[in-house]
Amino acid sequence: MKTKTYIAVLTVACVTLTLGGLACVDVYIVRDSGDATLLWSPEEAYLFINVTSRGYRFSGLNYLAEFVKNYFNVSSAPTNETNSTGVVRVVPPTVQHYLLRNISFDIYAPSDHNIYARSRGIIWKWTGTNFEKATPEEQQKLQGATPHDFDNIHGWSRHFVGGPPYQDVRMDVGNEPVVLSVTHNSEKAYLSFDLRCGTGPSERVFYLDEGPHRVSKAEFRRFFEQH
Amino acid sequence: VIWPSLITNADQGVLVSWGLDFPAYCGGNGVGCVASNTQCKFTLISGGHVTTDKPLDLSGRTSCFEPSLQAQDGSVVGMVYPQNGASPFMADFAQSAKLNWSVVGDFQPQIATADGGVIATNNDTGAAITFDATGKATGQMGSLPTQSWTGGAYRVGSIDSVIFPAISTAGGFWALAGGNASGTSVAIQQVLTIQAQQSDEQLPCDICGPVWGNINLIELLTSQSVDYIFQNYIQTFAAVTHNHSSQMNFTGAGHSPDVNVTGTGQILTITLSRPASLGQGAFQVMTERVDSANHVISAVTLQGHPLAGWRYWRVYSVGHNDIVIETGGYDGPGPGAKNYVGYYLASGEDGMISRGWREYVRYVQSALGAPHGLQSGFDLGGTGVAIPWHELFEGFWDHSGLYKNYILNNVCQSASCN
Repeated sequence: MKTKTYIAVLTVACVTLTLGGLACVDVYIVRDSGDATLLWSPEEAYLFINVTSRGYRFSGLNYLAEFVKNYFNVSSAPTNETNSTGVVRVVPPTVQHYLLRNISFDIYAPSDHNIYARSRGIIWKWTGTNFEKATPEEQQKLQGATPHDFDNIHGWSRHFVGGPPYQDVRMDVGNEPVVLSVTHNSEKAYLSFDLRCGTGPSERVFYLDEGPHRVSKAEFRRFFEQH
Repeated sequence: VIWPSLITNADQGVLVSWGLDFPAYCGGNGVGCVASNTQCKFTLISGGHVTTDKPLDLSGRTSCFEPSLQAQDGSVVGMVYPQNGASPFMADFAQSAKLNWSVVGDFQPQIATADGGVIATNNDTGAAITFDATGKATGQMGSLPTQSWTGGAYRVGSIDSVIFPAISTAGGFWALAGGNASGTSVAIQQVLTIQAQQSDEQLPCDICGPVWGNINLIELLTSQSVDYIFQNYIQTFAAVTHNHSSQMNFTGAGHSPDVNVTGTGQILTITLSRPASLGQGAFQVMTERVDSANHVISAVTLQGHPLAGWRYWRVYSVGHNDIVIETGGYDGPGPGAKNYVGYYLASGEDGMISRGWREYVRYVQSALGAPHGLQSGFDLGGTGVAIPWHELFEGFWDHSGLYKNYILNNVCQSASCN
C-alpha cells in the first residue's frame, strides 16, 4: 500500500514539475516562405524572390498544443513578421546577387528602360543595386500595372514562379538559351532556383529552407531586430 | 495485313490502326512492274460494325501508326516508326484520320491530360515532357512519376510518395498508356477528371452541428475606384496569395501562385500555415458567383475542406472616396470529428478564421495605403441594428442566424444556396 502511494505521489510530482517546466520555458520558431517573379528581355533577366519570415514565440506547453492544433488544421498567429527580397540579375555569363531587407514587392514592371516595383501601394525604381522611391509622375504612371503574367510586351516577359512543384522556364537572354529550373517541394519544405546559361553547368542561384527552425531567444530577437 | 493495333474509342467501341502491304510485282513478260506499297488505315468499330474506315494521312511516310492514348477531344496519340531510317515521331490523329500534329523524336506517350495535351517520355533521355493540345512542348520533368489508381502520382521505391500533384487525365477510357495505371491493357475511365464538380461540393448540415455566419470588413478612404479594387485585389485574391497571409495561401489552376477569378466553376486551392509542422494541408473551393457589376465573388467549399459552406468577398462604395472591403462566410465543420473539433478551435473573433480574414482586409488597406473610414457602425442587411465597425473589423460572429440571409444573398443572391 505504501509503495503504491509512493508511486502515485512521485508520478504527480513528476507531471507537475514537467508541466511547470514547460510553462516556464519559451520556444522560438522561425519559418520562411517564398515565391518569385521572373522578368526578362533579350538583354537581361531578373529573378525577384520575395521571402516572408514569420516568428512564433510559444511557451513549452503552447508549443506542444500547437502540434495538436495543427492536426486540427488550426494554427497560431505569428508574433513577428518581416519580409526581404532577393534579386538575381542575369546577363550571361554573369549572375549578380542582391539582398534587400525589410521590403517586399507585389508587382514588378518594366517601363522606359527601367524596372519598377510596387510595395504597399508605392512604386519603387530599380537603381542597379537597390530600389528607390519613384517620382510622383512615375507613381501615377505605374499604378495601373497589370498583376498578371505577360509575354513579349516591348520585348519583356514576366512570369510568377515557385507555384508548381517543378517548373522549367526557358528564355533567350544575351543571345544564349537560359533555363531557370524551379523546385518547390512542399513536403520537404524547400524552394530552390537553378540556372543554366547556354551549354554551361547548372548553377544554384537561390535556396530557401521553408521548414520550421527552432532558434534561441537571442537569435530570434537578433533576427527580427536586424530586419 | 500488317501492324494491327487496337485501343478503345471512349465508350463507343474500338479503334484499329492497321495497314495493307502490297508487295512489288511485275507482269509475266517482265514489264508493267508495280513498286511495293503500304496503305495505312484507321478503322472505327462500334456495335460489331465498321463505322469508319479511312486511309491515314501519312503521305510520304513509310510506316503505319501505333496508337497509345486517346486524348481529351477523342483524337488518338501514338508513334510512327518509319522503316526508311527517318526519325520516329509522335502523332495525334483525329478520328477522321487527319493528322492534327506531330513531333519528331523517340517518345513514348504515357498520359493524355484533361487539358487536351499529353505527357510523353523521351526514350533517349528518360525525361517526361508535357505537350499541349497543339503538340507544343510546355514543360519537362526529370522522369515520369508513376500514376496511381487513385489518381495520385508517386515514384517507385521512394518515400517521396506525395510530392507530385495528381495529374488530371483525359476523360476517355484509354488516357493512360496500357489502358490503366498498371498497364494491363484493360480500359478504365479515370474518375477524377469526369466527376462533375457539383457533386464535390461540401455543403453545411444544419442539423448535424454548428453552422454560423461570420463577417470581416474594413472601411477605407481612397480615391481608387471600386472597379480598380475589385480587379486588383478581389479577383486576384492578392491578400492571400504569394504568402501574404500568415494563416493561408491560395493558388490557382496548376499550382499557379497567381490567381485571377473571372468566372464560376474556377477551383482555388488553399493551404493552411502550420508553424510547428512540416507539410501543409491543402483543400479546395470553387467559385460560385463572379459578379463584376456588383463587385462580388463567392465560393463554395469542396470535399476535403475542413469547413462546409460558402464565403463571399466584395467591395462597395459608401460615399465619395469611401469604400468598404467585406468578406463573410456561412459555414460549419466538414464531415468527421476532426473537422468538428477544428471548427470550434478556429471559430470566434480570436480564432483562426476571423484572424485570417482580418489580415485579408488589412492587407488591402496596406496595399492601397488608405486610412480607415469614419463610420462608427454598419447596418448589414437592413436589420435596423448597426454593428460597431471594430467588431466587424476584428470578426463578427452571427450565432443567432440573424445575418444568414444577408450572407447567403451575397453568396448566391438567394436565401438558399447550393
